[in-house]
Amino acid sequence: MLALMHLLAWCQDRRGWAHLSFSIMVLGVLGLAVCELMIMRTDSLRTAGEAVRWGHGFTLLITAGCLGFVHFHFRTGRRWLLLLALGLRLLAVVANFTTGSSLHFRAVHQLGKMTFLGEEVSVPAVWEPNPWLRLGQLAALVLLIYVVDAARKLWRGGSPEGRRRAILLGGSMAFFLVVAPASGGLMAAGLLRIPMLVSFPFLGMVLAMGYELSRDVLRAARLTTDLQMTETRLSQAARAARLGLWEWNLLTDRIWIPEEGRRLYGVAPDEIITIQRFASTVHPEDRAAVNVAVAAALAGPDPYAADYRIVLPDGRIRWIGAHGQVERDAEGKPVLLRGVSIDITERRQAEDRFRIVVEASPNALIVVDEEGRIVLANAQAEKVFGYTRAELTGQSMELLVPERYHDRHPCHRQDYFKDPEIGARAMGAGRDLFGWHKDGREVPVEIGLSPFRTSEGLFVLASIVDITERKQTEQETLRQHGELAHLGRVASMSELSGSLAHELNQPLAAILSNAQAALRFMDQEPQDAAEVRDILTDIVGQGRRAGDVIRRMRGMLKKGELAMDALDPAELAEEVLGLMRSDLVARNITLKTHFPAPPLTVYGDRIQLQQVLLNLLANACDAMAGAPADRRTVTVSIDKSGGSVVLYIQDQGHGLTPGTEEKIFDPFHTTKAEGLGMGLAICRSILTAHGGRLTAKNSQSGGALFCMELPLHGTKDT
Amino acid sequence: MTGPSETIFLVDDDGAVLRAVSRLLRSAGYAVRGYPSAEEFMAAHHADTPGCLVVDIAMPGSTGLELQEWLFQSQSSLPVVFLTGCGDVPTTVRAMKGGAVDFLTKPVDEAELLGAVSAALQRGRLLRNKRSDRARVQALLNTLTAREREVFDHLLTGRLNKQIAADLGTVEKTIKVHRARVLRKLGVSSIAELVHLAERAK
Repeated sequence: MLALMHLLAWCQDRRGWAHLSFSIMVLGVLGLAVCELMIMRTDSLRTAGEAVRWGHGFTLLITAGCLGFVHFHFRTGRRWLLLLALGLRLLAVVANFTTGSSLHFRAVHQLGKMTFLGEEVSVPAVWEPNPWLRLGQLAALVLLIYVVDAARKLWRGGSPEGRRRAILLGGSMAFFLVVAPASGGLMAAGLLRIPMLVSFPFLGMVLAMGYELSRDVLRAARLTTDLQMTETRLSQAARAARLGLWEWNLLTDRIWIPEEGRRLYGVAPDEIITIQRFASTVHPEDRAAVNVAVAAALAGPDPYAADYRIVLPDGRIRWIGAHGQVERDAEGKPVLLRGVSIDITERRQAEDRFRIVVEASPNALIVVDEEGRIVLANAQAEKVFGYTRAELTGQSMELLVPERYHDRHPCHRQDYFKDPEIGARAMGAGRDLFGWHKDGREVPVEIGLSPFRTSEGLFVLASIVDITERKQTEQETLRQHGELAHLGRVASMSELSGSLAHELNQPLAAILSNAQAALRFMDQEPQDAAEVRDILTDIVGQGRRAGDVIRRMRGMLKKGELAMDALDPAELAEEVLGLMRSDLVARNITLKTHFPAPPLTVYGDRIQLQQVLLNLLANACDAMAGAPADRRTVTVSIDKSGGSVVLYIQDQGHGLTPGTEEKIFDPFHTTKAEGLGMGLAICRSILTAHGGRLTAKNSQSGGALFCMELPLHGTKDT
Repeated sequence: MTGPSETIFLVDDDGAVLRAVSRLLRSAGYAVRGYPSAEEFMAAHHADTPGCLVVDIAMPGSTGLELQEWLFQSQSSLPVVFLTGCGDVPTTVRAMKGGAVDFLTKPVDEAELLGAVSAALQRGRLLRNKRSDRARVQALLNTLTAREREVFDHLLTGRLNKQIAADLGTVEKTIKVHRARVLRKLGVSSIAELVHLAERAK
């Protein structure tokens, strides 16, 4: 029964060679037991001899079964030992059938009777031993060695299951393998008086092996259940996740793909899928790419990965993301490609929308990762920087930063990634920013940064606007502004020409008189060298004085570039007042100045700021033309107010018409008959360009009060 | 040419010009006193100091023209020379009408300046002489009695003794006596001389 069962088991699973071996062994043991029973039951010498002979025949089966079982079940036996044991046993069986009555006995001469387990049984009593028995014993020994060796190797293999097997099976088999031949041998030698019962130890072996194989069967059953459950879980998970599992057998060109996957690809549940059929679902434009991906995966070593579109039977397009692993045979030839597919249509659509938005952006967009590498750039970025996307992607973003910032920029960037909130405020605050074009040009840009965190880490989206044109416009505006300011200065200076002539005349007059006096003194005896020296000193001083006037005049009339400098406002005012002094005197205007003791500093263009002062002072003087003499006072004072320096120019004239405090700064607004109305408009634009303001109001003591407010640059000597 | 006590007063708000011009005048042998403003000059000035004034027109505080006016008001005989940076026509006219000796523009040549100064001093001297002469005549006239003074005034109008007597309600003889006494007191011998003297007193 046992043999039949395992034979069936082998029939079910042709690879279960262990079952076949076991069956053979059981058959052998069965045969042996029958033979031994025949010996015990017969009274005929002939029958007993035949039975012993056939019993030996069955040992061949036992040996073969035993060897096969160990070979297939342990998988650690040495092949040559196996072959040796089998060969020896074969020889022994040949000898069994060719020499004498059997391998045990050359001839049995007499049968004896003995009592065994309460029954009278026959045993060979007188016999002639067969020397060939040694061959059988050698075969048994080799078998034992083979089994012990295999068990030992299995034990060394280390797995707990292997050790258990090694001890239980190896041990029991070894034991019974020793007992069986030993008992046979001892009996043959006449030392043991028992019936011929070699089959009994073998029966023990059979039990041990049977137990072992049943365990395997049980385990297999459990594994099957587990496998089924896993499969159920997997398919449920796959369905839930809309994962399409598949497996492409390259040898049969069949693609196994369960329900969910079939739904995904839009193929019928019972349709047989080949690679050809699969290819027919793929969008024509993506077929080549899929072929390349499959070929790459088959060539190894990377796994299979491809994103492609498929065309569903109803014509809809679906994006599929597929990943798989190649399975190879012993020679490394791919035999199987197994993997999953997933519907990534939504993701791709989102990506497409994102890409369209990014591409359509009028600004250059660049996404940078935490290491400062460019991970994305749009078409506008290509245009602004002159690189293609391929050239940008993966590069350090310092590629786009002018060389002169290379030492600092990585630090700025790291600071930014540490705390994007703070960094965003500092990005280019109050500074002009430049990008670096591929051709080496610096491009003036404006940059906005937005950090965003994804599962892959922190990224920053930089939105970059090329402001070259705006800068050019600004430059042009600045130039025109400069022209206008220059015209304003020329006008002011021409109004002041009388005063200027006087300011030049004074030193000339002094020089002439001094020189003539000196000549006279030198003609006189005794010559007064000290007097002449004083005169010459004065002449030098007056020459310089005239030179200063000319220099300031030229400065005011010059059409120069802006020259920004740290300036003392008191010094600016003094210089302007120097040019106007004669004018003030001629108009009988008293000048009062209040300048702070520690000089303040502003940052600006000397000429333009002086132009404003000149204009305001001239206006103040004009305003007092009709005022009584005792009210003709202009007060110039400088004060600090918060972070600003304010220059106040206050007159005692008619004041501003209420409501015109702002209008007076409009271009072409004038109260003077010969005025163009540009003076104050220019003045205000100059102050604005300096980051300051120019305002006017009526002062409490009557007259107008103009306030020139400029950012404080710092105090001198600190 | 110059009297020992004559001084040239120089007023200019520009210190450098003040020094230079005062040196030039000193090199020509004049005594010079400079003031940086009209006010300072006015504070130090005595009306009868001999000399002349060289003054700038445009100055903070009182201007040169105002100073000229002040001199006139304070009956100073100091002749004025204007020395200015820019002389426009109205200013010049006003200055000359106010009795200025000259109106010079800077830079001034020494010959021009010295010439003007010399002329001014000359005028000053004349004025002073004239003034002392007048004072002397006035003193003589002051010696006349009221009656004699009446007769003197009538004599100047060229009236005859008889007519004067009729006017004053007295007799010709009395007038003759007064006339002789007036001529004597005033140290003149004829009516023509008397008229001349009277002219000097104006």
